Amino acid sequence: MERAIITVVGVDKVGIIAGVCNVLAAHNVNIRSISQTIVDEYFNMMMIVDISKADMKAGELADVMAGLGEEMGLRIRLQKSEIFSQMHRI
Amino acid sequence: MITFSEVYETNQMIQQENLDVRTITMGISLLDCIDSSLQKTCDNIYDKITRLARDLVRVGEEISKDYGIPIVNKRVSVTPISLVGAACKSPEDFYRIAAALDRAAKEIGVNFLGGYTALVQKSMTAADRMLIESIPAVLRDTERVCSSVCVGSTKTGMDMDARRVSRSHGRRFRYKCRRKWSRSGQDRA
Repeated sequence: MERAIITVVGVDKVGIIAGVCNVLAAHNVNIRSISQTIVDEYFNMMMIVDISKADMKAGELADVMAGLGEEMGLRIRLQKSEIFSQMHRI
Repeated sequence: MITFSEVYETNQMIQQENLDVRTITMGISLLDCIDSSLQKTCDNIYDKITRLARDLVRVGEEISKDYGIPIVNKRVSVTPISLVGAACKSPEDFYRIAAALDRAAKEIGVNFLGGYTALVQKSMTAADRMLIESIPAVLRDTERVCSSVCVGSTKTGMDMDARRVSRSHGRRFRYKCRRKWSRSGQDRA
């Protein structure tokens, strides 16, 4: 399984999770885990996704998610999970 | 399972504290490029570097995007040219090899190409001296070639003759740079 981490940060509004999930579904990305918090009016979400069957590579997906973030006024990043496991796990 | 705070911490390091991958380097041996003809040697060097490293920049950019971390420089490092050009007859011969290295570096788009080097901590050969003598002109006229001279080590001590030669050519290099910059209107003397 090829995992990636998606982080979404921005001002909370209706449709954020739906918007992100629709784009992921369109690209055949499976969502493994979602966690989110809303602090004051700010929305923070982290998703662990499986991109092994996605129709494009991680870098291209990262561009798609960044573009979606710009449309929605959010910062959306997609990064392969190894960078985090290498930083924080022995 | 990676936690939210760990993801946040890593991205803070990248975004706020300028964590990055400073350089990725491909090492290439040029020993098999040596030929009795200097022109053929230069051609072999150019061909091998452009063949093996042609995707280095592209793949580096892909990796940077995949992991969301900048990769600042892409670099190629080669066999010390004092070894590759050991049969050179003059500093001008070494200069031609440096020109081939620079053309290859520009073709593949890397930021630096290192290895225009003499390892003289255990004394200089005639070829080492010629390479050192060529360094001022090479650094003046090339854009991406990096040069070095190793004049000492913990194990061998320091070769003071090599140090003297390197220093005197270092002064020539600074003089040539000042002349070049003066002619171009950029006087940095």
